Amino acid sequence: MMPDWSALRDTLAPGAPATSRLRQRARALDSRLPPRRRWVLVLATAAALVAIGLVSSRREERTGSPPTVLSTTPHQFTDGSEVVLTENSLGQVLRDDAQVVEVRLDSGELTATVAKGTGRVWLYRAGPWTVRVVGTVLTVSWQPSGETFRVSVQEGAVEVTGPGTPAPIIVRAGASLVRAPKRGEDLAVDHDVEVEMDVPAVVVRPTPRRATRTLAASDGGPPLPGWKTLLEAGLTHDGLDAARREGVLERIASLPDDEALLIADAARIEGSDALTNDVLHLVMERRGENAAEAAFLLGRIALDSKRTADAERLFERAIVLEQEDTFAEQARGRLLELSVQRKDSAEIHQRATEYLRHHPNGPWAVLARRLQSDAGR
Amino acid sequence: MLPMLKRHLEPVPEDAAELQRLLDGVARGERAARGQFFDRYEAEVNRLVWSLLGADADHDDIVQDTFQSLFHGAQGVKSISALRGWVRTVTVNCVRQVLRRRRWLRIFTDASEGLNHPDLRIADEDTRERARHLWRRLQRLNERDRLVLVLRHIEGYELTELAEAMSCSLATVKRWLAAAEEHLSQENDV
Repeated sequence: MMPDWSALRDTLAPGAPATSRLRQRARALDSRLPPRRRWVLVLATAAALVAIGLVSSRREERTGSPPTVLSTTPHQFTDGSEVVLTENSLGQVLRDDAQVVEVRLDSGELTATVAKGTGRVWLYRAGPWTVRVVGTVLTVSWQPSGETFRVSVQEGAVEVTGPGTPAPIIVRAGASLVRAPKRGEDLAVDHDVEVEMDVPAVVVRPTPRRATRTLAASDGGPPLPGWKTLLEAGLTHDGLDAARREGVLERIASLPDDEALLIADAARIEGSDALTNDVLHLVMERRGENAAEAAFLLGRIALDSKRTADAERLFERAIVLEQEDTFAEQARGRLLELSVQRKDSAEIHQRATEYLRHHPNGPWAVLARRLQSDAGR
Repeated sequence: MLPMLKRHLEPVPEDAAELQRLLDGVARGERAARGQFFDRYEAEVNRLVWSLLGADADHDDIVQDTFQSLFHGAQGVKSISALRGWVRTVTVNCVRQVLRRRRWLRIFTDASEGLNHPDLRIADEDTRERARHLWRRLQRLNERDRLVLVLRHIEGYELTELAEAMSCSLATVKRWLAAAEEHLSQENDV
C-alpha cells in the first residue's frame, strides 16, 4: 500500500498547542528544572535492560545482533577491533554488521582500537555527540551530569558532530576535543590545529591490534594522503591546497564529474566562489549524469545572491537535463515558490499544474494544490 | 557528491549583525538573549518535534532539552547563515536520542501514540485512518529511517536540507532515503 503522506501531513498540520509556549519558555530558561518524564524513561530502560532478551524486533534482526552491554573486560569484534570501558562506566554496542558498528557511551570512558581495512564505519554516540571513525585508536568520555564530552585520538583522524557543530570537527592524532558547556566554558583543546607537532598534518597508519602508539616525528611512515583523500575526509583547506600543489586545478576539465564536484564543494566552503562556479558550470555543460545536480546547485547559489533571473534560468536548465528525478523536482518546487513571491497568478497556476503533473506526491504538492484551488476561484 | 555544499545554501539573514549579537548573548548565558532566541526559534523547534513525534506526551520536555542543547552549543556556531540549519540539526538529534531510548520501551507503548490527541483536528475518519495506518508503519522503522522520511515527506526538506539536518553528505542521505522508502514499503499494517 502506497504511503499516504498527505493524510499524515493534514493530520499533523495544526501543530503543537500554543498554550504550552509560555510554560516551555519558562522551562527552557531555567536549566535547574529537569524534564518531567525523564525518570520514567530511565527506570523503564533499566527494567528493560534487566529483562535481557525481552526486547527484540524485526528492525533489530534487520540491522544485526541485539545490543551488547560493554564492561571493563575488552569486547572483541570479529575483525580484531576492540572496545573496553573504564571502571564505573556504562555503554553498549548497538549495532555490529558488515557496514556499521555503533557504540553508545552512556557515561564514563571507553577506549577503542579499530582495525583498518574492513571498510566499516564506526559511530560512537555519547549524549548528543557523535564520533565517526574509520580505522583508528581513540578514547571517548562522556559525563552526562556536566554534559562534559571528550575525545582523544591516538592514531588516525575522527570526525565529531554534536551541539554547536554546524560542520563536523576533525580531530587528528595527538589531539583532543573537549566540550564542557555546564562549566560555562569551552575547553576545546588542540582540535584541528597543526601546531606543535613534528608529524605531517594528517597521518593515516595501520592500527596495531592492541597497543596504542604515540605519534612521533616523521619516521618513514606512509606518504601524506592525496587531495582526493583529504577532501573526502572533509579537510577542505588541506585538500584544496594539495589539489593546487598537484596541479589538479589546471587540469580540472579532465577530471570525472565526481572528482570535479568534490573540488566545487570544497571551493564553496573555502569561499572560492569563482572556482565553485567554474567547476559547476563545467559539470553542467558536460550534460552527464550529474549535470542536473550542478545546474540546480548553481541555481541555489544564484538565489542566495538574489540573482533571481539567473536562478530561474538555471532551475529551468536542471529540469531540461533531468525531467523526472530528484533535482528536477526540487527545481520545479523552487520555481513555484519564486512565482508565489512575484504574485504572478498565471505563472503560479502554470507552475503548480506542471509540478503536480510530474510530482503528485512531492513535498510541494500540498502547496501546489492549494494554489491551483485559489487560482480557480 | 557534495557533502558540505548544503551548509552554504542558507541565505545570510538580513539582520545578521543583530542575530550575531543575540547569539553572543545566548553563549554568555544572558537570560534576556536566551528568551529572545527561544521566541525566534520556538515555532521551528516545536513544529519539527511535532512532525517527528506527533502529539507526544514528552513534547515539552523534548523542546526543553533541545533549547538547553542550543543554548550550550551557541558559542560553537561558526556562521550566522548556518544558524537555522544548526537549530534544525540539533532538534533532529534530540528527537533521535528520544527515539533510540524508546527502542527499549517499544513493547510498552501503543503504536498509535502520537496521533491520539484532541488537538489533532481531523476533517474525516477516512483521513484519520489513513494517517494512523502510515503512522503505525513509521513507528516500526528504526529512528534514522523514520526521521528521513518525515523530514522529507512531512516537512518537505530538500535533499540538501535533509543532509544537513541528518549531519551527513548528500550522497549518504540519498542512500538513506532510498533505504527508508524500501523499508517502509516492506512494513505492513497489523
